[in-house]
Amino acid sequence: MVKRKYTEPELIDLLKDKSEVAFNALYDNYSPALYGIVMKIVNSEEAAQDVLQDSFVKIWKHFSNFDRTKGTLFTWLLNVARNTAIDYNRSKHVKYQIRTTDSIVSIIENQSTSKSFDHIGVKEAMVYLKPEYKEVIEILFFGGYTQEEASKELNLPLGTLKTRARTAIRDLRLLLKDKVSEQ
Amino acid sequence: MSNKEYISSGVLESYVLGSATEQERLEVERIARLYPEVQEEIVAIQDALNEYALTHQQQPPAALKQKIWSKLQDIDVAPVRSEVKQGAKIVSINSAPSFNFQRLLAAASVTLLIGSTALNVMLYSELKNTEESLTALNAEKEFFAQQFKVQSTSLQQTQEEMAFLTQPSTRVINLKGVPKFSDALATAYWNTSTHDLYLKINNLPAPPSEMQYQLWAIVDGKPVDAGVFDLADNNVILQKMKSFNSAQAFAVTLEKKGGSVAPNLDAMYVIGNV
Repeated sequence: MVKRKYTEPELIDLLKDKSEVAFNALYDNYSPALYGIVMKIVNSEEAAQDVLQDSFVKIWKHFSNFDRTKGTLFTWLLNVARNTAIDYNRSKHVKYQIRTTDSIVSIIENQSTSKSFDHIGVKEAMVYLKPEYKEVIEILFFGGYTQEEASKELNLPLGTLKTRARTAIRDLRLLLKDKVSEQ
Repeated sequence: MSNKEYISSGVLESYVLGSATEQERLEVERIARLYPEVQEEIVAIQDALNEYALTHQQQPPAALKQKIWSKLQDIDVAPVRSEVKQGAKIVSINSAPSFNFQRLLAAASVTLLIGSTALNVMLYSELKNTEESLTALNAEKEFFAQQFKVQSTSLQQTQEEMAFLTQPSTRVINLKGVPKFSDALATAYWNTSTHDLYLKINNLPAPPSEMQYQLWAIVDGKPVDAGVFDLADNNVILQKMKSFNSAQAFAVTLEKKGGSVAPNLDAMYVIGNV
């Protein structure tokens, strides 16, 4: 998990007055996660910085739209960043590149360079997620494809795609559960 | 559709992945508001995908934080600038308007604004109506799907019972009332090749609340428990009892709730020989 100095309810409260303190807390808590997902989608540092900025503008302007009965603050922030990045790709007619192997590569990178992230354990667990499942999560979640579009792109019948999406998330949850019980 | 089926249908996963259709999205949100267990499942799926997204996290360049903060200040400052300070006097730039074209334009735009607001209100209320009737239709659809399921189950059951009854190896044994209860009547259907035993209650008085009827098979002269039963509702025609390889007779007694090890012969209602 991200290291959080503020709990979610504290942060939500703080964000109401839109102060610099609130911004700092928000940015420090979530920018690595948001930047990571944006980089993953747009695949360019320059574009990712623009998209991250646009995402924060949206978060700042539309914070009143956040509805905590629908999910956590983190889920909402991720969705704003994800949708902004997907929209960016669409506006540039960039097609999302599925890279199911990159997490293995970045595990090795992370082990040697970045000790500040304590997310390596989950990353290792993700290696056990079957490539055909990972591919489906990637194209739907990061690529922003509809199920019909994804079924064409991956050349899979729609029914198979739907089953895989469901199984992929079930497996993901099982892997994460194992991960948590190990700790 | 029950909540359990709804949860396992896969629609929640595609909702959280963002790949659901608009119609599915509205439906999921409506159902999640009604059923906390559906909402919990959504949050669990979101958490899993959040964890997955977190595996990709990386630090943005250090300078970006300040850049974004300046940008945010701009948007916060913007509306303040356009406000007119209290006490400041507005002087018209156009000092001598003979035919005031600007005023005409202003009037026209106000008229347009009023018109478009009215249209918006109208369209919005129409949208609300449509949403309401959609919700009502969906509820109706669910109700009929539920009804259909009940009917199909009952049809399937009837067909199975029919198949059982018409097998040549199914014996029909009339269990007639003993002199004390001469009106009582039940029928046992016993298949001598599959050994399945079913019971139909033709006429038995309602038992007191702490008592239950029990069916016995007489095997080699000894009564053997064949199961307890309630006076079933009208939907069930035949009740499945325990299976027997051999039996010479069947009898029903009234016993304490849950059944007895040995029958109370004083409370025997019906009996019939095979």
